[in-house]
Amino acid sequence: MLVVALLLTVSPGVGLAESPTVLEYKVKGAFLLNFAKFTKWPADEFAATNTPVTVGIVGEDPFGSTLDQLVAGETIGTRPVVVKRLAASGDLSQCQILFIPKSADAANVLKHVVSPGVLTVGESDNFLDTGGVIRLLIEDKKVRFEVNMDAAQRAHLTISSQLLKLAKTIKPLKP
Amino acid sequence: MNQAFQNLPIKRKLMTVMMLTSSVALLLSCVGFVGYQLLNFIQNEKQNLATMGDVIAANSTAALSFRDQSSAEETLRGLKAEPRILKACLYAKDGTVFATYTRDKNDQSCPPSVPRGGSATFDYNHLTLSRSVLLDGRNIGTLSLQADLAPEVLAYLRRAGSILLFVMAASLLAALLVSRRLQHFISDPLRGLVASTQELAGGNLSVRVAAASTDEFGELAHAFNEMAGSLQYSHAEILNYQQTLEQRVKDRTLELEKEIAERKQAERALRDSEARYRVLFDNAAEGVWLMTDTFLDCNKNACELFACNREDVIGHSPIEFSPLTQPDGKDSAQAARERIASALGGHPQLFYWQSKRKDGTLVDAEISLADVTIGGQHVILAISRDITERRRTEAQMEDLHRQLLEISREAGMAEVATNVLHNVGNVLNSVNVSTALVSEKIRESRVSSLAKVVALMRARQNDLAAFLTEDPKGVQLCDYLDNLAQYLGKEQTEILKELESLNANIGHIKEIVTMQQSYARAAGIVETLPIVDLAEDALRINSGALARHEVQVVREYIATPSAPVDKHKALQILVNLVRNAKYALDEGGRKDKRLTIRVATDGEGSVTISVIDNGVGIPPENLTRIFSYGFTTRKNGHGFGLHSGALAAKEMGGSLSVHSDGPGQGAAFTLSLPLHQEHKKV
Repeated sequence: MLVVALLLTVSPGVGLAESPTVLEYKVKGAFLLNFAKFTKWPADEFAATNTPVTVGIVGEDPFGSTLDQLVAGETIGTRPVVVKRLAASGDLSQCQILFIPKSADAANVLKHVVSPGVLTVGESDNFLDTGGVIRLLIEDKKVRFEVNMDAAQRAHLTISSQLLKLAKTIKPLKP
Repeated sequence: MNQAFQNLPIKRKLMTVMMLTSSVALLLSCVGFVGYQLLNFIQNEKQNLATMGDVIAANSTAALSFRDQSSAEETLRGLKAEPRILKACLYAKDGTVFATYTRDKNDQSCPPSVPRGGSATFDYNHLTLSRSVLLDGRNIGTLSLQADLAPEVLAYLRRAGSILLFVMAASLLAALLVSRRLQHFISDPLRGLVASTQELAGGNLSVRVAAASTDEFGELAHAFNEMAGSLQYSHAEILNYQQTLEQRVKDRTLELEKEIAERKQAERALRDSEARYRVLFDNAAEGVWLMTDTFLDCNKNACELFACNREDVIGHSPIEFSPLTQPDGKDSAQAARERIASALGGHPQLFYWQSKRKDGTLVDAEISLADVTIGGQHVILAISRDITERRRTEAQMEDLHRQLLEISREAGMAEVATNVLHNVGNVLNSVNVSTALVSEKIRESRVSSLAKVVALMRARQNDLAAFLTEDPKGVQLCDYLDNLAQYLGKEQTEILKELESLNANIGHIKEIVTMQQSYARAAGIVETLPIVDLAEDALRINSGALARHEVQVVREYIATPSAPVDKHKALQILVNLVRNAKYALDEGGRKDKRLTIRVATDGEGSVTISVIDNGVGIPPENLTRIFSYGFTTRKNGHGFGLHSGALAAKEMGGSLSVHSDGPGQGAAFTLSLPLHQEHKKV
């Protein structure tokens, strides 16, 4: 129900006849954007005030064109949003948000994130344990998320308490 | 309440006034203060609510972004700690309700979303306020809050009220203490004044008040002292006056009695006077009325004139006592109105009037109307005399007059005849002298001498030649005849001369007779004649007498007009005037008797013939009656000449006038006649 409502508000052009998977990724795409809004990057992350926020998708892209449609014209503060499809190789830390789909090997991908400042979002069950910041999951047909505070701190990211309030579970900082 | 307050002693009154005044002032300021505080409180509440709304909105951004309704509702539930908040509602960007919170479980309705976040409305103790939910400066929804301020306000008011009560009580107490201290400044002097006044009223007029201050009480005390002083003085006066009053009353009573007696006398005098006037009024020989348009009052005679009672007259119009028309044909009503109006206009009227008695008989009256003022009102005093009798007498007089006129005309004729005879007689005297002369001359003629010569010559018929040459007598005969012829020629001349004179005299007689005949014939006929000729005729008729009395006649013919005249009448007047002038000259006794006859025009269409003498003159008192019938100054005069002359002049449409500067100053009689014949009245 939430999903339907969300879709209606976020993408009013999308028909109801779409498959559950497409709907799921539309919601997840919107979540990606919203995470950006409640996350504070380190001060040196951006060169200028209008430097775009880059959303990187590693490996196989489950969003299709949905994410492109979502970010079109969308801004985070003063910054536009761009989507980049990346391979799980080289330095992936030039992205601000890195989405690692189920199909990718999360542990491997995270090794390529060499510098802080990247909000890593994954779907695999042990994503937080492998060092990811936010894990998306489906619960009661709703998209929920979990946050790894330790990983966020390591990535020099400040996540809004409001966002944390919405999280299903929060993996706390190591003492 | 009001009455009760009025009856309070001034001390209490003062205190009450002070207390009430301070209470009202305090109450008003408290109300103002509380009101201000209340407004402040509400403003404050609004601010608080807005701040709270902002916090909730800020905490709802993530829930709204992620569409986490339960999280949003949990945030809203945090408002439970605020008992004022009745409802809270979070609206999504599209206006749909996203999350709600209500204190009352039974009421799940949402407070309205006020457009334009940040505004607040306040009604029925409910404050509704909306705040925008902003994320990244973008509006992602609206938060609406509704708070119930009533308990807060009530609590505040209760608190304020109790404080107010306390403050009031404290202030009143303070005011009571202060006023108790201050009121004696007013009540003490007042009480002193009251006590003094009571003492004064009690009869002690020497009481005085000590003035302790210079304020109104001081003035009052001063005024009181003055009043008491004047009262004391007045009291003394009254006592004094009382003593003299009795005597004055007595005096005044006497005066009044005297006055009353005088007034009674005056009234009696007035009554007597009125009675006298009434008698005078009622017994006046004339009818007397007071009237305006109608009769106001009248006397007995007036009633008798109309043959009715006083009641029939008063209030009625004079027109009711008049026939419809007057003898001269005028409408009675109109004539009466005109007369009355003229009289009221200040022109006294005297006229003949025919009145109608109640029984319808007519009565002739002479009426005079005069405007008089009675009691400020203009009324007419009308006086009427019954002249029926007088008119009868007048008619008889007129008859007599006509007879006299006839007689005098005859007398005049006789006089003219005497004149004519006199003139003729004068001329006849000359004729007589002439004839005596002629017969004397003829008787004494030498015609017989001629006969003697003829006889002598006849005797010597045979030797006539010898006789004429040889006889001495014959020689002288020629000379004798020559002388005789001369003498006879002279005689003839003388006789012829005398005969011429005789002829002239006879012509004169003829002329006189012809003139007399012409006047006798012309009587009553009007003809246009040169006026100068008339004057000449008048002089000629009197020429004998004028010459006999050595009167110098001066002719001043300034104008020589012709006018239509009755020659006989005009001449009769002029002859009479010339004769009168002659008498006047005789009487005057002057040596230079002069009679001037002047003919002139007066520029007003009349010709004037003046006969002016320098004789005895006329005293002024006679000037007015000189034309009256029977007036004469001559022993054998009949006093008719000038009278008939004036009448005749009038008949011709002219006039006869006289002027004299007095006795010895001569006189001038002027006959004025119209130059043009007027339309003759029938």
